[in-house]
Amino acid sequence: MTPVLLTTGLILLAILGTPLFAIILAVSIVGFLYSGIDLTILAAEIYRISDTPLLVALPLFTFAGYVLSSSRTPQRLVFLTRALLGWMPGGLAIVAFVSCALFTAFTGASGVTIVALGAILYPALRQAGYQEDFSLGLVTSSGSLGLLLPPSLPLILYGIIAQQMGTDETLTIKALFVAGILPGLLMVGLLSLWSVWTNRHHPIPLVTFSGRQALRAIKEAKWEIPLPFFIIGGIYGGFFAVSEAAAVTAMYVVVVEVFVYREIRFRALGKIMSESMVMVGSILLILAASLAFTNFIIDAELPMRLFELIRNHVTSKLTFLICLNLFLLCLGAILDIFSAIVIVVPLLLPVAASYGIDPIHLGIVFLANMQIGYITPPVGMNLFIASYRFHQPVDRLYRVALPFMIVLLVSVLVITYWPGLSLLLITK
Amino acid sequence: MVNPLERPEPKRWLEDITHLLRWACRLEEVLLIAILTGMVSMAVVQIGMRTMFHYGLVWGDGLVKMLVLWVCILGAMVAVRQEKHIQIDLLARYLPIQTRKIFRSVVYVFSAGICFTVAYYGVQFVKLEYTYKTLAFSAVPAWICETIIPFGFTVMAFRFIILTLKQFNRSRAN
Repeated sequence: MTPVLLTTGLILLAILGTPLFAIILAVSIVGFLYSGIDLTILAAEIYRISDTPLLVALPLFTFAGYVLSSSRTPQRLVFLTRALLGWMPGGLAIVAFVSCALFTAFTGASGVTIVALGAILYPALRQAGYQEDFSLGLVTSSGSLGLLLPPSLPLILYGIIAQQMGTDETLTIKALFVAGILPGLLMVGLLSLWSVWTNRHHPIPLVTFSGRQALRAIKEAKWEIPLPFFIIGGIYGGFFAVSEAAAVTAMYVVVVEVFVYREIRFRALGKIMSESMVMVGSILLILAASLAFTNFIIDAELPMRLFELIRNHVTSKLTFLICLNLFLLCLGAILDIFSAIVIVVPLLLPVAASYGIDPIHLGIVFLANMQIGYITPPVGMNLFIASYRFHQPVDRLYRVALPFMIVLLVSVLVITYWPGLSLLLITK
Repeated sequence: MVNPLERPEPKRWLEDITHLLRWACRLEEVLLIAILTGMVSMAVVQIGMRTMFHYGLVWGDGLVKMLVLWVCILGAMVAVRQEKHIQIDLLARYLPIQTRKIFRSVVYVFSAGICFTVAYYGVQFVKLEYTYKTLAFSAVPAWICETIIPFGFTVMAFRFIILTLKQFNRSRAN
């Protein structure tokens, strides 16, 4: 009786808007009290934040993303992709997908992509002759595209959590970065194909490629173009570790945007710094709380029990994957990606491993599903941000984002049932 | 003639406190900026030293990890003040304003309770580490770095209480 009451109470408190860290801590407190463990362990577990390797990459990449979105990088990015890819059939739509994916990879899908890039892309799409519904749906659903591409924050966070769980040594952030590339490109590719197909009755005039325009765009963005190559090359060339890459990126971005482009005033930088650290604080505190929670669930052998429970109903790997997709889609619709990773991955990882699912593949599947959660009614975050930004009722956005969501679902299915796509590029 | 009674004493006292709190808030933000700067420069210095002199600072890594803990707690403290903590807002959106306010105060009181609990056991933890003389990195005792935990959670608890009081204030104003 009491456990049921407690659970109901906590769930009620959670959906009434209690900060998630408090809910997780409450669950851990109840759990520790129940197992007769002294609560001093709470502080000890929170202190483990300072003993988690690689974690420093999170604040540093977040900060770099904040700096990029506060400058005119979004404009330059759209200009550049447009100059390079705009001539293709479905050109501008593809431009939108590619630039959103690149931008989100750097800023994490915190909604900033819609605000920063959508604001430029939406009018451009309308002007080029795309229908209103299509354009709205595109900018709404592209806001979380690129989550699977390095150096996206959710990828890093998944890697950190999975390593804490003591999975095999092949799971590194480096490996995850590689694993996400093909699935991420698949999403961009399918969406682009679909855009071309759906607009076949509204022919959009083609734009010819202009070498001069392209050269100008490259020149303008010459300080930012090296960034992705430099991060990926730096990490894979063995020049620096992921956390060092994050520090160098943060430093580089500040120098470029503040001193070279001079688009961020030095005084404004302080505000950007503290703002980004507030966001980092709220994510890290959930992580800290969940370290205690994870300790409790491992102690109580919850993943094992969960596995035994599921095993009675789900026997094959395939059925498990189907259930997993359904579960993650629902989860993504109510929980934000960071909390979902931190809370669910510790439970899920051992269970999935028992079904023979590679932890790297699981990570990609997890994030791919979560990405759709951003545009799933009723509470998908991108729907609300787009509604606010483009002054549209939310239910209209539900409708216009739906076709894009279906395309993304198809790619999620491919990603889930073809592990090779994620694991192909990894050399073990 | 200035009447000394014109400015009642308690009000000035209150003003001083507001002033002090405002400075404390600014200090929080300055600390966040300083820590972030520290993390970036420390890592860059390490890379520089490694490439040039083929060695790094042994305590650098430990320091950076401790800074992550501090950024976590300090950032979370500010997030409470700015009501920016991550939450699921599934139900509250559909409630009438008055009911929402009541539920929100319940939520804040609950969060304050959790924070006080963690703060209390945080003090026990710091005491324990003090007696065991654990070292965090280099010669820095762990308990000094850990005090941020009970401190931060106490501040957060008080802030949740202030937020609760504000709910009532706002409803009276409405």
